[in-house]
Amino acid sequence: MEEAELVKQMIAGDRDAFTHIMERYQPQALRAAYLISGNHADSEDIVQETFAACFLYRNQIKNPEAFKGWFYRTLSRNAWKICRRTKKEQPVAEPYAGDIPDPTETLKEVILREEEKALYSAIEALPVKQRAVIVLYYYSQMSIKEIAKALGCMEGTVKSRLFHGKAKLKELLQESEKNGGRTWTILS
Amino acid sequence: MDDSILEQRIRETLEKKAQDVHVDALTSQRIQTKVEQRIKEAEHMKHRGWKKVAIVAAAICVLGSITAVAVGKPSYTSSHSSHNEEVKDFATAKAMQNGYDASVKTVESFSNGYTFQYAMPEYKQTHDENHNAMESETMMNFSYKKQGKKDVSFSATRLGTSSEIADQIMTLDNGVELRYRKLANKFVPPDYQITEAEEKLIEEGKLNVGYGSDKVELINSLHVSWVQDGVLYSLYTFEDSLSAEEMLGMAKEVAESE
Repeated sequence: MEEAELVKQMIAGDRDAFTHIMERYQPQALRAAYLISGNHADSEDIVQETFAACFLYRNQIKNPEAFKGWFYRTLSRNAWKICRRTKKEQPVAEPYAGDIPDPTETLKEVILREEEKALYSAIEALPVKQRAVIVLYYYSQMSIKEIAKALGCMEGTVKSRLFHGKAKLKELLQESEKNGGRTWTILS
Repeated sequence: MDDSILEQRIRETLEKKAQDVHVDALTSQRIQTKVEQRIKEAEHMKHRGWKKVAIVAAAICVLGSITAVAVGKPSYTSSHSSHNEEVKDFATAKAMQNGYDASVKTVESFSNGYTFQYAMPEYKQTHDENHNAMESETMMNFSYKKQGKKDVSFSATRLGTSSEIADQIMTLDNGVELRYRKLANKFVPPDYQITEAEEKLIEEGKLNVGYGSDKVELINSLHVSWVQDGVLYSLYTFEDSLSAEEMLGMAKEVAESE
């Protein structure tokens, strides 16, 4: 069934349609929330809050065709709220998937893995609003126009956050390069 | 420094990192069950005043607001209560409280004219980050009324810690610290955009924002919380005309009662 049709049914209070929407959106939403929040527990909280809001405030979805934008706007808001709440606590570092060395890895692969690790650490170090734009643009593959709609801001603000986000990433990578004494291929 | 290489690497890194999230059937089921539960709780709260719940949660450090992400530690608290279980007689309410936890202090009336109106049991449960149930407790929530004024509510729990933020602190002879706090609460629609100024106030603990209202609404609330013999007490009201001294005085009467 078309997404807009499912959304219309959900707005009318159809729980089956809501379940279909949850199933359809859950994997991508969970991954985007994880990339924004940086940990599993928060990402599940963000997604749960977002889906619950979907059903509870369904009457506020004025345009079923633009549901994706509404959904990611709510997800981003929840991510900011939850990240702000947990920011004051001791962060729990989650290991990067590439932390466990594979004995069959070539030197090139090891370097690449180290670079990915440094880049991800730099993304994690960005302010949450900048990180959200980076995730929605590069991971969720939303356009600048879609992100602006989703985040309820001007396209110029999204462009600016992307530009400054990338500049900050370069800066953080350069710092890590200096401290680690190695040259990243990303920067060369 | 080539932007296209950096952009390509950002995409690849995010894609690879996202693979850490395994969305299996069990995860999906857990999320769906939790969502259903949240919807049920929210619909239930509509009937008992979710705004009041949001205000109390913000004012005292219930576990939901201090999520500690560590294995084996409580991550959030869920609770429910029903007006169907309302008790309008203080002696019965006191006896019920004694049945749950006899060490909790309660009073029937305050010297400023507030008197007992009703009480009802609140069932609380803490959960770990994997949503497993941990500790549970039942305590009575008391409500007090005074002609022409808004009600004052009183609750006690062993599943929480006192907030460090306070506008005024009163130390009693028995060493108990009563912490008074006035909180601005803004109830907003879910798509409300928080301003930079509001964000600053939230960081400072001066503003509580509750999502889910149909329109923007501002309500001030007054709170006194204290810890006595391992119990976190909380006295709160939306009655803006009560002074800090009056609220602290009411708390003192409870804390010094037999």
